[in-house]
Formats: sequence, structure tokens, C-alpha cells
Amino acid sequence: MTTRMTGFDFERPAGLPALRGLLARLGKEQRRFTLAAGGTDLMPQLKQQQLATEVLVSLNGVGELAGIELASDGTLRIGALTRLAEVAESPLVRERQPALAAVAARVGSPQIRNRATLGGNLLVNNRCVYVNQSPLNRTVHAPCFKVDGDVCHIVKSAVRGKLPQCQARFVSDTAPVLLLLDARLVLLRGRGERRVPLRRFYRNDGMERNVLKPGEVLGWIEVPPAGGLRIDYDKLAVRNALDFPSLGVAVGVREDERGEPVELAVALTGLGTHPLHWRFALVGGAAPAAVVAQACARAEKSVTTYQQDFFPRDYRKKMIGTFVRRGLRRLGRGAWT
Amino acid sequence: MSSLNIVGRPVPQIDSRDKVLGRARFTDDIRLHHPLEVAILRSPHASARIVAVDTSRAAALPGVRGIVTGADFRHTFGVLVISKDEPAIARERVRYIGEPVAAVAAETADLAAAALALIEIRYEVTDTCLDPRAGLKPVAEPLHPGLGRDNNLHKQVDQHYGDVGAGLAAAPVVVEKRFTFAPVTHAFTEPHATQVAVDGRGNLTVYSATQVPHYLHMAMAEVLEIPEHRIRIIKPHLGGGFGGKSDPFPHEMIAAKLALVTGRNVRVNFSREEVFISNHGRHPTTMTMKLGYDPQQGVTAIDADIVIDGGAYGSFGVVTTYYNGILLQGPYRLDNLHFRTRRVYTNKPMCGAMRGHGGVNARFAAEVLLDMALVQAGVDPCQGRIDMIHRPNTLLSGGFRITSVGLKGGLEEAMRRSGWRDKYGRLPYGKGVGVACGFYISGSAAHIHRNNRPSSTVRLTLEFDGTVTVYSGAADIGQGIDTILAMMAAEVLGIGLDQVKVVVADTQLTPVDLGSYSSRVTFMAGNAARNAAISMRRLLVAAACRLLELPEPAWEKPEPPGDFFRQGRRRPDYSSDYLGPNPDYDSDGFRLANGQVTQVASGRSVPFLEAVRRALDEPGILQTFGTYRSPKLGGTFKGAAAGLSPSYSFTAFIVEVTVDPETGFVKVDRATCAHDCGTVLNPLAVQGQIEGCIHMGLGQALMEEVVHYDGVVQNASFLEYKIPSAFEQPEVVLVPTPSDETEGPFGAKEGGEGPLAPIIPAIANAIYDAVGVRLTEVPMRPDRVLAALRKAGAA
Repeated sequence: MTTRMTGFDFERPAGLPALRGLLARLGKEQRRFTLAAGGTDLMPQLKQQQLATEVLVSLNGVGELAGIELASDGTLRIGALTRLAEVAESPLVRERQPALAAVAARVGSPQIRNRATLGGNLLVNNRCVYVNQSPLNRTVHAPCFKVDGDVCHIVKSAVRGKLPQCQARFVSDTAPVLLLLDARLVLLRGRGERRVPLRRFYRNDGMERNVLKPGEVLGWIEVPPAGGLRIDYDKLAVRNALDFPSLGVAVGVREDERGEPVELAVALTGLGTHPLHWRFALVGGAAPAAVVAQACARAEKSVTTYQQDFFPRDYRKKMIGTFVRRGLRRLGRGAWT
Repeated sequence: MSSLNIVGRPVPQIDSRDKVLGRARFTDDIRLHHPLEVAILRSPHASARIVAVDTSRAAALPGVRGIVTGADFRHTFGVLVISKDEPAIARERVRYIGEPVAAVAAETADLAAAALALIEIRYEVTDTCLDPRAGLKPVAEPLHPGLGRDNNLHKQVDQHYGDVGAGLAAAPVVVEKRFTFAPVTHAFTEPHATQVAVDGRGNLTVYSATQVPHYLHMAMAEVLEIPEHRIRIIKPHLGGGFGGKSDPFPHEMIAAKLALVTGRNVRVNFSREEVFISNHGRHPTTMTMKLGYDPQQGVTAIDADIVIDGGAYGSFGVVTTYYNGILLQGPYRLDNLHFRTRRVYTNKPMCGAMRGHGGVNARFAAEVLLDMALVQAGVDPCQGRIDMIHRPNTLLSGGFRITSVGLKGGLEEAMRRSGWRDKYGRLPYGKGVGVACGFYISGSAAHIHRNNRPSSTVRLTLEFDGTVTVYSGAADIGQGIDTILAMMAAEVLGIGLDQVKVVVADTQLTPVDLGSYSSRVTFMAGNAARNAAISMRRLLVAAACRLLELPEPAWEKPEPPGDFFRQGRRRPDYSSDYLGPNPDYDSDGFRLANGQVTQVASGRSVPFLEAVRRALDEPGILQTFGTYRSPKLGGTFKGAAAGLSPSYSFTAFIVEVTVDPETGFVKVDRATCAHDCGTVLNPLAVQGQIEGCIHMGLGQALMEEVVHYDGVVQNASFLEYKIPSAFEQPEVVLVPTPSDETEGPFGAKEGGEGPLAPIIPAIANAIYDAVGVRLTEVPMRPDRVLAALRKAGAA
């Protein structure tokens, strides 16, 4: 039996004013709606009945939120609806933020990147082996919190409503790179907007995943100039295409005007409920190798992993340090490893 | 034999253009008149008694036209006569999560799904058996009490050939290891689908994505309790099988029953999850194997103890149980063999036949152990293998008749092409080469249903316009038998492929072929088509003689079969219904080519079409048939028929890998393959099969695993069940591996399954060459490689 998606209305507002109007109306009517950009993450969830919605709102008519601009201060302003393929291929992004272009090219597959958006990747739903399943499978295990059930199969002692209530893991490839780049998100609400630094956007929970409020829409991602920061991203995945990161590691080295390293930065995805990141100063006499060792130790100690992926938890954890050191080698800092 | 026109040329499959352009109709593409949609309710319990079934609320839903439950089927079924243990719908008890417990036919799919939610089934959950080791001990409630055992053992095979004890005792090198293999599944593209049309007389036309239309035909008649003549099975274009569609399936029975009950056309198709939970994939296996090796004699003995996890029902499992042991008899000389294989029922989706059926996991163990032994003995792993390969025309102690063997030359050529001597043991740490060999049956000589009929029969017609139509029950599942059938006719009749049409896999129109399994189809249906065409050729030559006022050739009787090993390539026996295997047909002095029928000696000719029309004068129809029968093979001991084949293919792989010692990732850089499939009928098709085997083997070797948790399949999707992507596919080098085969059509043997088994141990052996660790757990995932390296103190 093939699964079909039924039981919801479909709206496709043409332009930002229409979107604002629609969201206001849906809010007033208290209807449960879901926003869809590329839909590559959403459609399987709808088909698997992981989320129920009364109205599916396609954002694909909102042209204002697609495209890449360069502000006078060197900030890249990227519409949330910009396709990942466009981010990966944009000469502007490649020149200004090559690490962002590179990481965009690591998401999914060419077909997925032609459809999926940068905003969608930052908002990609957390995944868990007990959630991303069919209704039959979830019946067998008893539905968990994330699908309106009464239990967490990963942490049996978890309590609904008390964060972290859900250990579904964070799987965005682009988030760790954008974190190191100090990206800001422009969130639209009503007729206004607010800016939230990406580092304050995510929450430690697989269900209440971020600070986006009901009715709020991610409009733009602002990426300030890299300021001497060079970033390498690599992901642990058994295949070189399609897979979400079992672990993703962004490593950054910031250099001053003279090319001297001043900061080491590490961000992780694929482990735990939200991305983690750390910065370590390289000035003041500390040997870089010692800082790297400290960074790896910190990262390995801080993350929470569970047996919920192709790779065993210990292996994924063990790979953090390996990936940090390999990233540094690709950045020409092999001497620190 | 004069030169060949079509055989041996790279020919695109005759249906490839339609498939690429989306014109080919697969089962679910067929549009019947107002079909009802079928949805199947599946058990959420791995083991439970069904206490009560209430369908009344579902039946009351407007638009629901029919509901069936276990009570509607009296007979169980199964592809093997000896284990018909599967019900179309569970009754009294369920044995795995996902087992059908009821089914609904409704006007729309949404209605059918809604009706399922209204069916109430009360279960009484019982103890589950998920681990085959536990199932070998006494259990409170065996899965199949009818077997009269106090445990869940389904089938045990314990066979001795020669003297294993003496063989091991005499060997200077003895190696032993325990191996485990994860469950893997076929992962074909097209999910299962069936549509059933019913006419006013209650006749059923069943369109189904099946590899075995004939077995489905018989099983369905038995399960539905209607005469076979009321059922017509048609296999439309099919999107891959690999053994996953080689059984009759519950959904086929359910759809047909609902068509009968409602009097309406019905349609059922599977979600990907339903494909996974129907499974029939490769058995999860644990085996302990011991191998003795003597540099002077080769492998002196193999002793293996094997447990395979069968899941809930029998499927092909009895054959799998045999194949795990008996297929160790090649490709090397082996006089002393003992194996014990035990297949155990568990509360999981059943396992069955999958590409390389039964031979893949045991081959891995044997090739890894052999590699260890050769390394210990200081013998080059390629050369050591070459020295032990079966010689052509050998009768094995288990009764296998080995005819042609081209592997020795093929492996030597693979050594040269892969640069083996410069690479083995000489590459930098992290890079390595490995070798492994294998062999496989070209069709099973014995029938599943015992009868005296041929293995394959083909009908051929020739119309006044010159159209040749080949009618065959063979099921093209992507391997290209439709094209082979056309090639056989075109070659023998000296015409172009465009002049040949095929009507296939329709039980009303086509004579019986047993199905696409055990790598039998090109060999058997190909031979049958060739023979049908040879008979047709004789009619045309006779007509040409009449037009040219020449006496008909004498059609000499063939000499009686002499050599047991070389029965083919004799003059056809026109006095018999069976022309023989792979008969030579052009010793009558005529040549059919370029639109002419020509007497070679005189050079006199008539146009092909004139000969056709002359031949039509008296009968008004030109129709011939051809058959293939395997020669009588094998001994008389119990189980002697298992693994008997009229011919065997042989394969060697040399694989180059890069192992990342920091992460344990294995990248296969290059695979050099020597596959002896006899005459290469269609190089494009053989290349496709070998590349496919490499891809599938790569998946099992490095990443594929069906994950069960409490009996439920946890990765029933192509996102979480990891099939290698195009990135992981290595460079492939195919080296010519000719052999002198006489039995297969134009000297061909199988090429679709044999190349799968050796690629996996070749990767393992290359990993050893690269980083010095032996992996015994498959898939050889990065974390396992890394753990092995850490254990060895290398990382």
C-alpha cells in the first residue's frame, strides 16, 4: 500500500505581503499549519504521518525570500528560500564564504540540493530511529513524545515538557559552518522582524528545537565577513551522497592580518539535539597542539550520543577528534595535530 | 559452426529504449477498468495468538467491497513442495511483525486504509524467538509445531564427502574462524505489485511483478481452490528481482481472492516498507569453518558448522541449507568436505533466495580462510588458487559434473591486468590487493515439482511477412532474457533482431519455463529458443530446396551421445522431440544470411521471404517448438540433487582497496573480474550483470544490513538501508575468460549470480593486504575495521 498525503488544505501565497496576510489569518483562525520550502525533509514526514497539519503553506511563491545579496559592509544576505544548489554554485558565496558554498554541496544529493533550501537545512527536523518510521513501526514500539506519545525510547526517564524531553538528533550540515561564521537569522513575524544570532537559535531538545515562535518565518540568513576565519567541514557518513551526517565537524582557524593564527573554532552536528561550538584563543603563549588537544577533549566530553544511527555511539564520539585533526590538516595546520 | 552474426555482439536490451523513455508498462502502470484498491492489515506482534477478528465495522464502511481474513484460506503455500508452510493471511497465530492479518478491497486507497483502521483483532502475545541459537534449544511453543520438534529447527543438513578428519590431520596448515553475516535484502527498484482482472466467467488474469509465473500459477490455483485453467498469469516489465520475487507471495493470493469475492478488478502495490518486511532476503548466518591446506595438494579438507536464521517461514530455505555447504565443492579440488547447516525458524520476516543464493556467505568464509592458509604457507594467493582450480570435464565426489572451466586463464590474465605481482604485499600501508574466486550453477538440473517435462519450452512462429515470434514463459527481470530469446532466433535464422518479436511470461500464450531463479534462464530458455529456431530453419531449408528443385538434405541422425561431459554441439536429432543441448545446425550445406537461403556448395539461393511463403503453402502456419532438458546427473544419496547443474560458471576477482586507518573506511578503488560464462552472448548484458554484482557485493561487504529491533525492521527505507551510491562503485576491469562449453546455448553459461560471491571476500583479503587485519564480521563497517585495527595494536 503506498502512502498518500491527504487531509490538509494547500496554500501558496504569491509574495511576502500575501504570506504575512495568510499567516495572520491562519493565526486568527487557530489553524495548525506547516510551512514548506523545498519539502525534501517535510514530505517524508507527512507521508509517514509523523506530523499532522491542517494547512500546508508552500513558500515557493515568495520570491522575496530567494536570492543572495551582498551588503555594503560585506555581509551576505541569503534568502532562506535560496536553493542549496544555488548557494553551492554562487560566485558571490564561493568568493566571500567558500566554506558555506562547500558545505551546501555536501547536503543530500544533486536532486535534493536542486530543491532543498538553505533555510530548510537550518530548520531540518531532528531525527530519531524511533520517530522517522512508519505508523506500523511506531505502533510496535509505542509512539514516543515526538509523535504525541507517552515515552522516550532513548532516555526512558525523560519527562514530557522538561527539556531535554527528546533526544532526536540534530542533522543540519550547514549549521556548524554558519555558527562559526557568526551568522544571524532574520525572523519575520506579523509586519515586523527580529534578528537572532544563530548561536542563540537552537535549543537543547529534539522537539522544541529552536526559538522560532508560532507564526514566525525564517526570512534571511545574514553572514558577516569571515574576518580571517578559514573553515573546513567534513561529515561522517557511510556513503558519499544522500546521508545525513552521523557526525559533522566544522573546524575554523582565524588568522590576523599577518597570517598568524589567533583562534581555533570547532562546531559539531549530527550528535545530540543541537549543534555545539567552541572557540579557543591561540594567542598568549599556549602551544596550538595543546589547544587542539583541549578542544578535542572538550568536544568529546560535552556531546551526548545515543545508539540511534548507522554508526555505534562510541565510534561517532571517537571520530570527533579524528575529524578535527583531519580538518586542520586540510587547513594547512597539520603541524598542530 | 560458421561465423556468428549477432551472438557475441554488444546488443542493447530490446526493451531498454522503452524503459528509458518511460514507455515500458510495469505491473502498477497497467490500467484495469475501475479496480478496487487493496490494503493489507499487518501484525504489530512478532508472535501472538489471534483470539478474535472483527471486521464488521470495516465492512460497514461505504465503499468497502470485500474483506478477507485467515479464515478465507484453507491451504498454506510455499515455493518448495517440501515446505508449504506460509498462509496467505495468518490464522490462529502470527509469526512476524508485518505478517498479513486481514485485507480490504475498497473503491479508493484512502477508503481501504480507513477500513483497515476499523478492523479489530485481539491478540494474545506469546514468547518470541528472535535468535536462531535460542531456537535450537527446546522452546515452549515452536513456530511450526507440525514439524513435530520441540525446538524451532526447520531443516538440518549434515553431509560428509571423503574423510575430513584425515584431510585435516594431514594438512601442514589448518586455519579456523567464526564468521557472522548480517541479513541483507534484494533492494530492487520496483516494489511488489499485483493487479487482477476478473471476467464474467470468473476467470482471473493476474498481472504480477514475479520471477516465477509458473509457480505462482500453480500455487494460486491450490490456495484459491480453483482449477489452474481459470488463472492466467502475466508478468509485465519488471524492475528487478534478485530472488526477491521468486516465491509466490501472500499479496498475490489476497488480490486474487478479493477479485473472486467481489467480482471486481483489484490492484495492490507495496510501499517500500512492505517490501522490506516481506523480505525473502539473504539469511543472517553464523558459521565456524575449518580449512586444511597443503601446498602440494591444495585444500585438503573443509569442515563447516553453519546456522542460518530463516525467519518465520520456509521459502527457498531448504535449498539455502544445502547450498551453504555443497557449493564449497568448487572452484577448487576438494575431496574431503563435511558440513552441517541448520536453518532455524525465528519470529522475523522470512529469508529466502537472494542473488548468489546460499553460496555467498560460505564462499566468504572459505576464501578468507584459504587466504590465511596461503599466507601462512608462503604461497602467492593468486598462484595458489590457480593451481587448485578444477580441471575441465571432472566429476566431483558430490556428483557435480564440471564441464568447461576457463578460470585458470582468466585469473592469470586478471593478475596481469591488475598488476598483481607488483602490488601484492608491496603497496604502502593502507593500500592493498586481494583475490577470491567462486563458482555457481547455471540452472538447477532438478525440477522443484517432480515431473518429466522439459526445463524450458519455446514456441516459434514465422508469418508470411517474415515476422518471427518467440513465445516463452521465461521471466525477464532485467537480466535480459527477452533479448537473448530474440538473439537466438535471429542468429539461427540469419535475420536481424528487428525481425524478431517476443511474447513472454504469459501463461495463456507461452509454454512453460520454470522461472528466473538459479541462473537458469539464458542457459535453458536460450537453448530451447535455439532449438525451436533450428527446427524452423529446417522447414525453410526444405522450402528452399523445393523452390530450387534440389533434394532435401539428408538430415542425418546424430551420433549417439558419447562423452558424458560434452553432450552438446552434435548434429540435431530431428527424429526426436528433443534436438539435444546446443546442437550444431549448419552442417546441412545451407546458409541463412542477408535475406537469402543459400546452398553453400552451388551458391544458388532464394530470398528468405520466398522460402517462408513456399513453406507456408501446405500447413498455412509455420510453428515449431524447442526444449531444453538437463542430462541425468548426480548420485542417489539423500540431497544428491541439490546444486546439480548442467554447467557451472567460474569467477575470480582481484580487488584494490584503500583503507583509512584513522576512520576504518574502506574504499574499493578497482575491481578486476575474470568471469567464465563460456561464450559471451551479449557483452553489454554480461558487463551490466558483473557491474551489478560488484555493486551488490560492495553493499553487503561494507554497509548493508537489515536492522531488527524486537523483531521489527528498523531501517525499512532506502535512506537508512545503505546501498552504495555511484560514488562508491569502483573502476571495473573485465578480462576475457573464454572456456570451451558445449552444453549452454552457443556455449554460454550463467553470468548474473556467480560474480557476486567472490567480490566480498576479495575485499576482505585486500583489507588484510592493506592493513593486516582479518575481518570476520560482514558488513565490514568502518567501526569494525577500526576495532580490528585497535585490537591488532595498529591504530
